[in-house]
Amino acid sequence: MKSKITKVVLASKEDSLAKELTNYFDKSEYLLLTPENVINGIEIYDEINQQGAATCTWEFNDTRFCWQNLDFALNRIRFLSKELFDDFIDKDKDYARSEFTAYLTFVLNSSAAVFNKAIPGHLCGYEPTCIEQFLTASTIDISIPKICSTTVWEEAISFAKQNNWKIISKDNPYYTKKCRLLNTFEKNKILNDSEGVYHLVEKIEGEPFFVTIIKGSPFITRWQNLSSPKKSHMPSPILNKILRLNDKFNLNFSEIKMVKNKKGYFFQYISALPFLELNIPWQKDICIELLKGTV
Amino acid sequence: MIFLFGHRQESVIKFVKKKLEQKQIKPVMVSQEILGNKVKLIIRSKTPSHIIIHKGRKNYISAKDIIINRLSIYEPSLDTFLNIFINSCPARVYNSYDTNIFVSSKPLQLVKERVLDERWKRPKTLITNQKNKIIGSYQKKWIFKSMGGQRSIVTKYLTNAPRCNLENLKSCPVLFQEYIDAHTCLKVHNFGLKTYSIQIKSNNTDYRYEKTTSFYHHNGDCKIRTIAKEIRQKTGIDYFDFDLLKRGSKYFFLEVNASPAPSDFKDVQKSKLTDKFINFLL
Repeated sequence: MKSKITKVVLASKEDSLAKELTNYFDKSEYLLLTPENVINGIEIYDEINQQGAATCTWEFNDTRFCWQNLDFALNRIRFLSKELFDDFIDKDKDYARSEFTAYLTFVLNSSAAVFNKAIPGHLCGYEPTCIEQFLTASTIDISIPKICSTTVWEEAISFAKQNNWKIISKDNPYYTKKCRLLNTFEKNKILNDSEGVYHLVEKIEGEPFFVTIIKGSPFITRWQNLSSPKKSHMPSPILNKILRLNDKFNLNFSEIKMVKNKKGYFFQYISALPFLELNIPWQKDICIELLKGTV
Repeated sequence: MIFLFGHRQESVIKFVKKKLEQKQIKPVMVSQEILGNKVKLIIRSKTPSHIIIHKGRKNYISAKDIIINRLSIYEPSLDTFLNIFINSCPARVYNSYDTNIFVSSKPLQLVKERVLDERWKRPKTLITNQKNKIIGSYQKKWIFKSMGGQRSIVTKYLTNAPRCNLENLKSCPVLFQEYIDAHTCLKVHNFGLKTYSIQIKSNNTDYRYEKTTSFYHHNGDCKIRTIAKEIRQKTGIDYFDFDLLKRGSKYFFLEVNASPAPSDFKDVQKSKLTDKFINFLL
């Protein structure tokens, strides 16, 4: 068996943090497991005793470790995609996916070492649909764009005409990379289709601000100056509300996008998977500290 | 208003609808099948935020309204919008998608921080994809069942017998649980602050798949009420059921279910479970 592993990261090989892990750390210290490894490569030996104490032991190639004995673990797998289960027989595919998801939710919640705890339905931490994000933000008095989610086609048209609108997505209200760009579609193309659900959001013009929160500490960057995070970029009453929103989602590691204009700051999204791309030096530095477990 | 979210033919929906109509209450059915046709939904940032349009009439949803949700958590593409509506609306909801999913991982329910603390016993549980290496090393009888919310048949694990589809599951972990030779098997319903126990007698490991299974009213006791109270406090939900086994004076906790079906026990006359459920709703 390999020497003692103290860190585990679950991530695809393309993930920015996984790359930092492989660049900066000695292989004897950490184990990087891809989604494919998790589904096909690990041996599982877990136990929950009669008092409810869990011991989760995994073996991968020549490495055996116990989740409860790790110093640090991070999960960057948001969900298990259908394609991961292609090798299962047809009638078992959905079942196996549901079982693995329930199982990973348990493992990623039962070790104190996991930095971003899973909650049922959200392997990386709570990250609901954008519509629910907007409504949650509004409950703590954070300004949000006007939104309208509806099955009523006429309502969608009326909302679109009244507002400087864009469609986050039709039918699928989850943020994907594409949705995050908040593409504006041509009205006629979208609204010709009267079936389904429309998720519409008023388009807010202004300067984007990004707040990365790590263990309650905010790093604020302006779009015009992404290289230098500063708390002074944002008035503290706004920042306090953002921190409250983050607490509500119970995230240890998150990114919140706001847009500032003459009317104030408007909420755009909260993500439990920050730093998808690491192009900026301070982000790299923070990632290394995070992976060292010293943040 | 009372709104029923789910599929029209689902047994609990049908039952609740019938019971409410007996009380001259007409609930509104909201299902994927009639969405956009008889029923239309709107969520907006303007207050009141949630609107259900039924037969052309706009119902602005408030805390006075009640939603009974029977949508499956495993049809996300079909029901996502309905679930968003339920999750975010101000009505009393039994239970939302988020609540149902909260208890969807059975091994997570067993962890002491989650549903019940270490004072209460659960059967010893193993999760493995290497069953041949480890199950035989324990001198115990085992059952195996699903970890997620997709239904599986709870089955006795016999080392010398065919094991259903277990062999097909390849690398998939399987939850094995110590077989408890219990003298009493209980399904306990929790409505608000009250608990109602049903005793189950069955010749099968999984009573749901045995025609001769019979159900009886059970008086419950102080321990059961304490368990229910702890589940309410730890999960924050007040409409659920849970399964217990009793051996000697000890209870073993099996699992919580946030989508109970009290109508399955309508024939247990003495318990009047279904009446109590309707009274709780109203």
